Amino acid sequence: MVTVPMRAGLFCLLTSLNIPSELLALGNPGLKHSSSPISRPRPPSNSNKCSQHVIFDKGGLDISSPPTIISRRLALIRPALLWPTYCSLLSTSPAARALTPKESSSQYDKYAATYDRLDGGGASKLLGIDDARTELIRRARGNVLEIGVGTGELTLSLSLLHAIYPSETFEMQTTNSPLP
Amino acid sequence: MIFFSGLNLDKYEGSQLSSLTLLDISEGMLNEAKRRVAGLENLQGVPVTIITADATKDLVDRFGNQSFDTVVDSFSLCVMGSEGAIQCLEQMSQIVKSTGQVLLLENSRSDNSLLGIYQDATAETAAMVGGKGCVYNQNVGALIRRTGCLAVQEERSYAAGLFRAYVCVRS
Repeated sequence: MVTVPMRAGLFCLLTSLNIPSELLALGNPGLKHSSSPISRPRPPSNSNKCSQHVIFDKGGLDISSPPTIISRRLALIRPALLWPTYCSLLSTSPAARALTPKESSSQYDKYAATYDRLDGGGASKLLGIDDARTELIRRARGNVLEIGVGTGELTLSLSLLHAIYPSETFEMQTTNSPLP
Repeated sequence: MIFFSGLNLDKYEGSQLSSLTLLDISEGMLNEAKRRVAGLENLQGVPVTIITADATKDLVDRFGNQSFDTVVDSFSLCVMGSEGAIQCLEQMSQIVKSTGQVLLLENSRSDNSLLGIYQDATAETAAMVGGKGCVYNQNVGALIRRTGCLAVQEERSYAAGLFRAYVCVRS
């Protein structure tokens, strides 16, 4: 009841920005309209840490299978609950936090080498990220340092995904196998 | 398949590079980048060094002042939070040469007011649950200005400001 207008609003915004609606699917078939009320990608029973599959641990991603009533109510009041955070983020307060360096290290170790759908291809091309990268990086010259080599637009993609489906939890199967 | 890490690597003009140093706090991500480097023709002949370090505090100690002609970051500042991002920008401003450049491609708060408000309302939850720690509504221009040691030479907005490219120099 509440998330529907939220989603509709975002769809309208993205449409007004000429961002194709396919962006919202982000390459995940489970996000597209389907006649089946249940479209839940599951990890293979013999899944291992080297699997390349992206796993959604709550599969209600199908638009025809909206979140529960409880989730909708939470979504309704969330903007109010987040107001203090909203203010702090706007002021770029030092209290604004993302991940600590230690958290970043351990968590991004887990995210490494794990996607083939929420990758740098579909979403980044739709948003123009790939072209932006090309345009900017070609300017590099001389002795070059690139920091944060591992982080990327996947964070943006997942953030948008969660914004659209606030009651869902998105996880990726992980691996952290070192080079031989 | 396109790997998550090292997405900039095939964009470099190898003929313009004297060396390329890749740094991340995550060894797992660097392993992926290392795999990718090995298969890229554009980086053949370019000395590539891979280092695990914290970009918010280790850069100056590790490399010294004015060590690089170009410092690149894409989509990392949002993961560091405001304080960490400023620290990182300050580090970058010190290790880049006075004649050098800092190239940034970052998530940012949209120019579209409605989309910006939506980002603000969802940023924290999205970061903690779906966005892997990325606060995607940062005002990156304000963060750069707050460092006081970098000046934006060029800025370009993409996707209504959902992300932006900056070319910065030492001020």
